[in-house]
Amino acid sequence: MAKYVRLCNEIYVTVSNKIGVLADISRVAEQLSINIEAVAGYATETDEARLLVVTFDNARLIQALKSKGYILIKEVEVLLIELENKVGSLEDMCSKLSAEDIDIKHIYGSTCPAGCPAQIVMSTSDNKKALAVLK
Amino acid sequence: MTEHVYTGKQILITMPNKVGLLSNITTVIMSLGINIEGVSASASGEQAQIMIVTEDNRTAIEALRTKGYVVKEDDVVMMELEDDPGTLEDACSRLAAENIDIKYIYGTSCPSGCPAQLVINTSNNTKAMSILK
Repeated sequence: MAKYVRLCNEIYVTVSNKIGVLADISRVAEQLSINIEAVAGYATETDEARLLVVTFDNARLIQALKSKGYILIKEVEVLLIELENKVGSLEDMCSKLSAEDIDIKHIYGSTCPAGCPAQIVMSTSDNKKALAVLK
Repeated sequence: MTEHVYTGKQILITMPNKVGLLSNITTVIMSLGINIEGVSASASGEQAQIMIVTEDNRTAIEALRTKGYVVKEDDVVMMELEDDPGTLEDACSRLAAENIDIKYIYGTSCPSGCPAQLVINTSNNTKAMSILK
């Protein structure tokens, strides 16, 4: 039930957690007119913030973030998946991965409010195999 | 630039991480005919944290508890943002200006360019709601 699957890179930023960090990072993207396709952010137990963003112009954004002093930046290969917006499509994807013993390292996404396919970002223990399984 | 903001609830499950966990949880929810509208999951050490927004949390939680899952429910703010550069910045800056901490955020844009749906939990959701409206 995955309508579309492909590999892409996500920008993975680690910073000390404080109010305004995501505002600051998204401002850098805005200034470059780079659209953020997906975002996840959370604080870790060690009071760091992890911010994960997917854009279609990572190289420029990473360069700009580094020049602003963001040091702990890496690019992580992820799968970008479009799933039908209906009951069971996430289950179908997860059980296919589980049957192949593929571990989901992280996943985030949301449906479209208008009912279009949901877009999911996912990193697994074996992205190439996951791509083949989900295609 | 926020199209629509409303309060919601999300299901939160924390348990030992293993392959198939999200598959098992989504199987329970699927079997009830409940659609999942948002998902975020990550592992921290040996623990997996799974956050899910559904169209019927109450029924999903009851079924998950019956299956032995330890489930909590968090208040969240659901916001729809125009799929344009700067909309996330606008929302985050307004929250930061009022000293509101984003505890977590997740969501993706629509592949067809409709508004993006984001789930956020903040240090003050009531205030966040009024700022973002």
